[in-house]
Amino acid sequence: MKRHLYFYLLSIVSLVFSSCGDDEGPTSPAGEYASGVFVVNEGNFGGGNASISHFDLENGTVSKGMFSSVNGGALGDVAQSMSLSGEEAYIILNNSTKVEIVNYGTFESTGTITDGLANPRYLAVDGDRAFISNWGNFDENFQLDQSFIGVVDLADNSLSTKINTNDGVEHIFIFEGKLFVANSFTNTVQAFDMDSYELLGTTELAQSPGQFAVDADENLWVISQGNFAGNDGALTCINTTNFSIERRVNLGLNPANKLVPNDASNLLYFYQGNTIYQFSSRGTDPSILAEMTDFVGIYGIGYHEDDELIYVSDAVGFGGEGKVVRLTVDGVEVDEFGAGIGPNSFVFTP
Amino acid sequence: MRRLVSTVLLSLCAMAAVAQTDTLVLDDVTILGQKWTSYATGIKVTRLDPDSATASQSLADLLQSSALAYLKTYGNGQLSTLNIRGTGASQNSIFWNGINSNITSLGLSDFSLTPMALVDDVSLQYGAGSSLLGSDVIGGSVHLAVTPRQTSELALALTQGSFGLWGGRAKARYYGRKWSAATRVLYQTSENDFPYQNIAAVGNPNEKMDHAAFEQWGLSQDVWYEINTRHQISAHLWYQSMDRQIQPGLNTSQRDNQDDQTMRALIQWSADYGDHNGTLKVAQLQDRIDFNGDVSVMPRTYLSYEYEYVGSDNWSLRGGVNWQVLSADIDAYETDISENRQDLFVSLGWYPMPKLNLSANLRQSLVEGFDPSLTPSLGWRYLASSWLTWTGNLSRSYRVPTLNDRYWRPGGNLDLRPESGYHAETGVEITRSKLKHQLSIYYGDVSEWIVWLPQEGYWAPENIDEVEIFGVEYESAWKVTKQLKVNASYAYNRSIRTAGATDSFEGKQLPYVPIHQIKSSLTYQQHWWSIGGDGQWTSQRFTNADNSGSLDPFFMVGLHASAQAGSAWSFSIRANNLTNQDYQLVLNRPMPGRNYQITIQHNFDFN
Repeated sequence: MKRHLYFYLLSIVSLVFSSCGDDEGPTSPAGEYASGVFVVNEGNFGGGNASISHFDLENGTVSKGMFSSVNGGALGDVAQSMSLSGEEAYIILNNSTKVEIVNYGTFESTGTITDGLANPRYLAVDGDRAFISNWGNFDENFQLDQSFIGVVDLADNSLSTKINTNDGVEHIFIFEGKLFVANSFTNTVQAFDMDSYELLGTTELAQSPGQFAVDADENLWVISQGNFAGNDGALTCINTTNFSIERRVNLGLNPANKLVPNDASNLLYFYQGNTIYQFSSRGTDPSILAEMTDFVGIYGIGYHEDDELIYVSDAVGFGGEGKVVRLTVDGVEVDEFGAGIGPNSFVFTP
Repeated sequence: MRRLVSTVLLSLCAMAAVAQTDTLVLDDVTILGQKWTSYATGIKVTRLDPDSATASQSLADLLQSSALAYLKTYGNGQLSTLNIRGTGASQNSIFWNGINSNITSLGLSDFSLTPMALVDDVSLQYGAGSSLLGSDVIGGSVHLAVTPRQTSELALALTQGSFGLWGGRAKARYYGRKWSAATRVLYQTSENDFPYQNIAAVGNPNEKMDHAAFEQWGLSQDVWYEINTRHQISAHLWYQSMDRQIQPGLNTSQRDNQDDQTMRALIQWSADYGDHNGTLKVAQLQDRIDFNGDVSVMPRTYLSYEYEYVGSDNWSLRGGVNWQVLSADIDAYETDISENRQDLFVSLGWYPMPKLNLSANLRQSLVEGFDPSLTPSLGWRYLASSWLTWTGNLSRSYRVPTLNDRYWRPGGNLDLRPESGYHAETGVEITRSKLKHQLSIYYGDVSEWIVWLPQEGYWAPENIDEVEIFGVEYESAWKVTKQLKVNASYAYNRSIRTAGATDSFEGKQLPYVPIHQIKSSLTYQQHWWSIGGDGQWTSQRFTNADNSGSLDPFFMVGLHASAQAGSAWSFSIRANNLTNQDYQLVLNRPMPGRNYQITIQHNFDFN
């Protein structure tokens, strides 16, 4: 506990110092939650108990279920992801087929996107447009009808265009003026033009690609889960000009579809089961960073530049409230705080 | 605690003021044609009387109003599973004419699928019964049958109810010297567009359910033929179907449809030579589930023979074997599954003295790769005096992993072990002329409890939990006058996880197992009319393993009345949830407020 306290104090100190110099970037909102770490708690499927919780880095307090307490009513069912843009947070409620928009400083609701959505997954904002990946609907043989990126005009939250993709479009990433999408039911990543929405290229890589990350050398990486029980997951570096494969690192395992970068050390983090791996994009093979032995299973991972800590969450089998553990980049546990049901990802305020 | 006591007292008073429905019979229950009941010494079995007022209801409704058990119900007329004696949905079974009828893929029964109109004999066995009944019977079992009666009748009934419910049923019986037969038919449909308050939406608006409609068919046909005084052959057929919109959770966009169809056929041959008897059963059962157009079919072939030797006045021996072939054609399995299971069992009943009945049972189940351990039980029943009986039972229990547990892709785990339990219970029965009390105390420890946990993008089952169960049940039946009957019961149940997936689950009550339950009923019957009512109070239920979420306690009252006009016509009316309680039995699934059903029945008399 003492050790935890020490790291905790250290992190506050470093935060105070780092926040002095870093005052550029977009305006942040005012309010209680304007600064800190949001945890996306997807909730039990059908339980309607998705929530967002907030961890205050300065005093270590955790606020839970702000959407309900501020707005009344429940947030929705299965919070798949959350993205920040300007003063807004966009929360995708997969099984409510909607996106709740809140001012992330106060968590007051400022709008809802429902138009044209079908199994929405992730969202990226560019100016006054939001790109939302949608799996589309399943038919009776559990085959997807048509996956697409919904382009939403944020002025009136209406869907203006549907960009058809390959099956199971999941993570989306705007990079070098292009829209990269990972089609998780396939072995493809597609790149689209941001204005004409034309397909620029398709990269074939290991099965079931997930999250994108950019390393310190400005290379675009994507993690693939591989085939079920095939132990053939991979990290793939994509050439963002001709969409060929720059480099492929076979992992020999089936990782989760999450990948987060640590710019300072040029590392990428991912996990499988209770094991956290790190991969240096300048190195060769990934190595084990830490084993979360008392976890039921890691369900989300994040790296926060400000406190230089790794955040991992345990959904405790969705049997109750999850927890978050913070680790140093050396894999040493710093502290732990409570989350809601099914914490799946972290969003750090700018 | 004081608040709890006052609530309990209040509800008891309220219940005394109201009337009731279902009569609980606290006799030493022997289920006709089910020899195992004579060897279930020290095991609590109660008979639930499905009467005319419950005929338009489901087995789930009947159990919810009158049994000491919790029905985990996902909305009105929706999936309803049983939590009995602190165990989970898979740890009990419906037995149809003595055959385990759990859906083999899921290893559980949906109690809302069984219409009460198709049966006239419903018994509930509490606690572990694996030594007598095989796999799944860790928490209890429900036994359904139509019994032969020496009467002929034909009755047609029409029912109309709230939220667009209407339906009809026919009941026919023929009794002859050699042949007897009974036929039951039911059709029922409902828009089920009940109003509810959407507590999940901003401003908690009142809304109408728009996706919970259902249409239900049912048929049961029973034929008995007396070959001679010693031999009887009977044939039994059952068909039920329920095509329904799945009531979505609040704030979800799910719009699923499911059509469940169950077909059961049995031929049974019984021979009785006084000091020895035997029963042969050949049956074919099939469940078919169509979920959004994706069809799963699960046939089961069943063959059993059991033989009983009645040695003298004070002992008897029973032994038998059953053989089942479980098949499944399910898209999520890699191949079609066909699996053999055999059970060998032997029972000894002994009266070492007239007032003491002992029984010992032993069962070995053989399942390829999943052999549960030898399962014994030992029970006693001692008549301490003319009004006091002491009973007890020690037993083991088991549950073979379901087909989904093993073959579902992704996740199915072939390395699972059967769940395994140790149980002890003891009880006293006090009979004072018109008042009967039954008190039971039970303890159990179930290990290797199977739980599905998330992996990388899918879920997989593991033998992970251990649960310690302790409880007290009290039931009483009071025949106040010839016309007036009162039942009252209370259950206290602690089901504590002693080992689980993570520390925060340990020492916690299992979800959806209420710690307190009170159920009571009252009926007043005159020769041409009757009224009745039932009241129940259920304590808070946790909705997750770490007990961080819960559903509020609820109190519910129902009323019913019926009247006969001559022998040909009868009318009945039933009101449910009279106090218009807003309650949920499963998180995020609203249940309807006050609702009514009216039934008109025409009887043709042939006697």
